Amino acid sequence: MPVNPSATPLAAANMARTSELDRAQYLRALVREHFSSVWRFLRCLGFEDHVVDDAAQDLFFVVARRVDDIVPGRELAFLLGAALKIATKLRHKRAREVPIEDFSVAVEETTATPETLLDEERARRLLYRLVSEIDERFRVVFVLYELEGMTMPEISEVLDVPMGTVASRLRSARDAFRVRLERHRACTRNEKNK
Amino acid sequence: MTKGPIRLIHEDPGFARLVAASKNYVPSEQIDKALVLVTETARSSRPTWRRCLVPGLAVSAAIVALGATSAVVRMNAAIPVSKSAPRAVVATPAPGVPATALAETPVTVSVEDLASTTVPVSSATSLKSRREAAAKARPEPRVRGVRGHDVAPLSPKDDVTKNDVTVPTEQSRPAPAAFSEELALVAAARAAIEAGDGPSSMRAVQQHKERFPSGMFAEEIEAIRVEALAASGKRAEAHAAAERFLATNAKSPYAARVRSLLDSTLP
Repeated sequence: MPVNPSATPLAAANMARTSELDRAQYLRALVREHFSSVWRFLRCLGFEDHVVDDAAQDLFFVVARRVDDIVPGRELAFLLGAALKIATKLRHKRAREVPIEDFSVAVEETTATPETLLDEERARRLLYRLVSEIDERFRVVFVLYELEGMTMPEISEVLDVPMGTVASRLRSARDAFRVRLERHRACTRNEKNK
Repeated sequence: MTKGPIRLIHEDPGFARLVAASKNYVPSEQIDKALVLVTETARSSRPTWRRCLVPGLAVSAAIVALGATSAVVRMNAAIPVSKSAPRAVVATPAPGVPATALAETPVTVSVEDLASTTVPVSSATSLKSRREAAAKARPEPRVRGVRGHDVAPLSPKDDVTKNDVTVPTEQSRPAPAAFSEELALVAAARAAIEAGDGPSSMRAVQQHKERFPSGMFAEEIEAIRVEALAASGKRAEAHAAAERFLATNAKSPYAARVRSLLDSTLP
């Protein structure tokens, strides 16, 4: 099996994944390093909380049995691609769409939370709402580039689309997003000025 | 062309703040669950056909050689059904999800979907051509058999249904009975610190160090300990602990949080 030795703990753990204990350690390193990214990725794509949670758990359950399929150094790309597939299937099974308004409901429900945490929570929910308003065709590229910091060649590989397509989708997504962000800011300004 | 436009976080500070806020949030409970899940799964994914090798070694070797392919199929298909033990106390179902939703039939994800990194964005690509593309793109994965002997991988000509990995629902994933005690302690420590109760959190942290000195959640507990120290006003200790944590756990999901504590506990 081709191995790419490098300094990261994850890569080092790759080299000795065959024994059960090492396999468990490798998988835990995978969870610690990438779970948040997967979770955030799915959330930004507009999947509902419960779909995100279940899809993320299912993903790592499957990954735990498919450790040998992961190419060292390409873990995140693998995980995000698989997560998207799993979440999409889960959502179709449940056939439920959360209206955009529901994003704001949860914030009011959080009680006894320090003000800073509440602000952060509001910021998070705003981000998810704005991103979810981007056309579905362009959303994934936007999230991978702007939020996950992937390069365009990486995105091209994860999504299996040509670079030109990635570039044009990114352009459309950024334009649409900027409009929405400005609209939101204008609304907020108007509210404050009233 | 391949470089791409300047990222929005560099162009728009407001947007950068939104992104930072989303990265500061760590889905801790979900991560803990996943840690237990992968550990349990790693332990229980020993090839089940190993137990069929009852006769002498020579016969066993023959069985291994002849039965390799079908055994792999059986091994792949045999996802452990949940043990009779109930799920860990800390696992909470998502709010608002009716009970019936959790008892659904499992979602089936094809192994080959996962082996390649393709996402079916354009459904025009047929399954066959995606398989061919995947096969060309990277070497076929080797499946490890008993004691590390490589077992022949399934060929693309095999019936795709044999390759399907049934993804269980919440109910039928392996029950994390072995770690529920440690998990409960971590959850208690976390709940306490999130409620701002430094002392209670510290007590739970100390209990964990006593009862689970080489526990799975050492990293998580240490992050909570740093917060508990900071919350209890022990700034110098918190700062030192934060530095130590970041030195050894730079890629932790809690690194950002601990780093912010570093700033707030400057001597």
